[in-house]
Amino acid sequence: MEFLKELWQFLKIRKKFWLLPLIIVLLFFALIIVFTAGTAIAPFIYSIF
Amino acid sequence: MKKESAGSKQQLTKNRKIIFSIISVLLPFLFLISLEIILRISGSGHNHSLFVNHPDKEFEGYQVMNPEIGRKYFQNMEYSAPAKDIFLTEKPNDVFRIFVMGSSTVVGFPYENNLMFPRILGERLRDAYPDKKIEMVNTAITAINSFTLADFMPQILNEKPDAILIYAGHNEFYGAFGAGSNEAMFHSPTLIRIHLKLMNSRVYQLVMKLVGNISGIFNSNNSAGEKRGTLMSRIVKDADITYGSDTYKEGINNYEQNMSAILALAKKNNVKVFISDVVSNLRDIKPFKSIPSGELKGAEEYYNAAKDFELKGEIQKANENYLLARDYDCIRFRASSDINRIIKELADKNQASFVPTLDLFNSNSPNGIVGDNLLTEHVHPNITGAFLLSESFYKEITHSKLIAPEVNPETEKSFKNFRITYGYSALDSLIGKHRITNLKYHWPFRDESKDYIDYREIYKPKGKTDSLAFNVMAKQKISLTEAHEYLAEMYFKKGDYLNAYREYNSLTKMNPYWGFYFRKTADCLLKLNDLPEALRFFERSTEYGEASFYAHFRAGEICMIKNDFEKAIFHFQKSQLNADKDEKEKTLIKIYQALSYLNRAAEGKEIEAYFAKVNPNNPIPVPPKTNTYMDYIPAQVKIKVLEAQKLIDVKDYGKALGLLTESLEIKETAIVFRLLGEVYYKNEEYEKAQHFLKKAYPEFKFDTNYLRSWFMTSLATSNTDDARKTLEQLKKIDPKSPEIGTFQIILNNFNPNNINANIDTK
Repeated sequence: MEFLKELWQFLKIRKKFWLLPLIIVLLFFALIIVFTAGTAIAPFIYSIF
Repeated sequence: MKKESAGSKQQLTKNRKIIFSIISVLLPFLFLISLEIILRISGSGHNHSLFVNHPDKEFEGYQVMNPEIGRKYFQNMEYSAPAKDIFLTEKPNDVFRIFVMGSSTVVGFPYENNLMFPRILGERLRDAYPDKKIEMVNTAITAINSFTLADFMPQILNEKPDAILIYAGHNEFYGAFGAGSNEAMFHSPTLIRIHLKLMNSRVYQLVMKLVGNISGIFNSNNSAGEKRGTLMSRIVKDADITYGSDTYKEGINNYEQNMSAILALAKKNNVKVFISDVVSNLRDIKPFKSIPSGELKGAEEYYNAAKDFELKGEIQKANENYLLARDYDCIRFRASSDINRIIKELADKNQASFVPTLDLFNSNSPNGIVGDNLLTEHVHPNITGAFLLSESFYKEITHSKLIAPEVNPETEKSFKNFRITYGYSALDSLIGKHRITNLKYHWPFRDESKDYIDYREIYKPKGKTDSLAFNVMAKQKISLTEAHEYLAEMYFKKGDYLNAYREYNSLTKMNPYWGFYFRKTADCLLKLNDLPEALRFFERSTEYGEASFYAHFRAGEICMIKNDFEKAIFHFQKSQLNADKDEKEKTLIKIYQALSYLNRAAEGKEIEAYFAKVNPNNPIPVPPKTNTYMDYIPAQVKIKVLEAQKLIDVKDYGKALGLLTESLEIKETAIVFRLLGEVYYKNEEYEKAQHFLKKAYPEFKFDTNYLRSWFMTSLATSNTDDARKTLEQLKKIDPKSPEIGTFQIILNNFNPNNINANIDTK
């Protein structure tokens, strides 16, 4: 229990250290999503019926 | 507070600090992995595996393409579900597994599944290699391009394919992730590939959903109509891609890179690839948009010039100009010559088999220029085109000898006859017609933003079949399966068994894994007196383990008429597994009779004892064995065959041959092959006699009269191997035949230098 409390304190103080990679990963995901976004035209042409 | 924190920092031992640091480095990854697991367990997000276990209990042990795989490539758009081709999860050694890759053409657009070329090809290969189990799995989805194909490839290779067939190239610009579809300022094929890999992760899908929700706040167009309207106006504005422009080069490079990766991966895994060039409509589709650029004229100028040259009979110049008109068309729904050049180069480089479909289409077109004769609009084959496309792959596959050294000449059908007997009807043709007519009311065929016409509102169906087709397509009141069923039942009730057969046969090609439609088709074939085909359909109906007393009993009865008693016993025994008491007794009698004909009556003692108990005064009847299989003449050719038989009786062989040959144009039948063989034999045209009698062999090898003809013809063509085999077959089916001794003497004294001395032409 003491270990977890200390770990929590450690993480609370060093947020950047562990939150930053997470934020970077999520940002990287978002960027890929934005850069690969597109609207294929072909399905609109062939799926009228 | 700060003091406390500082204090706690100081209190940590060095060891703890190291442990905590490691934990904090791992924490983001642990968090992402835990989140991924939680999302998967909770069912959030989508499974993007290409193949999944078949959801139906009847098909346990089989895989099928994930019906939702399209979502991965067309997030918020409509996408077509893939074909539901099945294959065994554990691949047995005797299965030859083929995967087909491509998009709308391979899906069969504008028709339904029965007319997609992989299904046509699967049936064609089945006829050519009856001893092989061929699994044909179509992985095509409408509007995908080489990015999706490259994404499919590793998963396809995991399923141990024996061959991969590829027909793709038209969607490189406007398909999913195509160069003309990417709205971002920064285009990167590498990012697209990373995105496709990440799409398998549920966390990534969650982020995607969040990004989508945020962008949705700024874009409130929600109704489908508004979406389409907005999209169409943007498309019309942004779709232009001039020849040689950056976007054009990007699309061509993407195709080359992706296809190169696909073929290299197949080569690395020792999987044979058959890749075809792609066909487009040159003659009858004007360029969608013509923009002169630099020294290049507009596409329309080339098109008009091509028309003029063709009118003047200058075909080569016409063809060159048609190609330029297609290549310079700024709306790129038709693959340019660069795509076909890349296909050929990559096939050569990677030892893939190049399939020259374009040559086949050209050679089947007026002046060697493809137009509406084979295509429905700009790229999709019509029904004749779909059969030709299948034939193009068929030729390369059989030529490669990959499945077996030779096709079976007895069961392989001619291309023409194969098409005649394949399952499609006028209803399928009308479905395609309505889809294409509707398509042509929209962009890029018409500027729908200026003058929108709703085809559904203006079309008046002509007749019952057309009305059904229109209801299926435009109104979507009934499914195509229901429409075929409706017509089939209607024709059957009327006694029009030929048309009922056509409708049910279409259903077997749409649903090749369901026994029900095969049995219905077989029933129609029985009514049409076509026993060989009926047997084939009854047998197909139980291929996936469906227990049907009816199918096995009927198959057994046909085998009895054919004198194939071994197989008859097999079917009767199978039919017993699902039979009530009366049915069981019926099959026991049949088994007893078959055993008696095989001179194995001793094996029927138990049956004899059973009936002696039930009905002591009536022994099991065993009527004399007959050769009546010849009496069943399929209805389509009956008049011609009966007339020909009369002519044969009066030795008017010339006219008889004419009639019999005409009947082959209607339908190739074993009975006509046999008659042709026998007439040619009587006419002393032994090579021709051998050709036709060989084709009749599978159906008549239990008929002693046929074996006699075949034996004599084999000798007449100095084919002692066939003669010897025929004699063995005769000994097997009729050991007491008086002809065995005579044949043995003829064979022993055979003199190849004096054939006429050996044979009896009476």
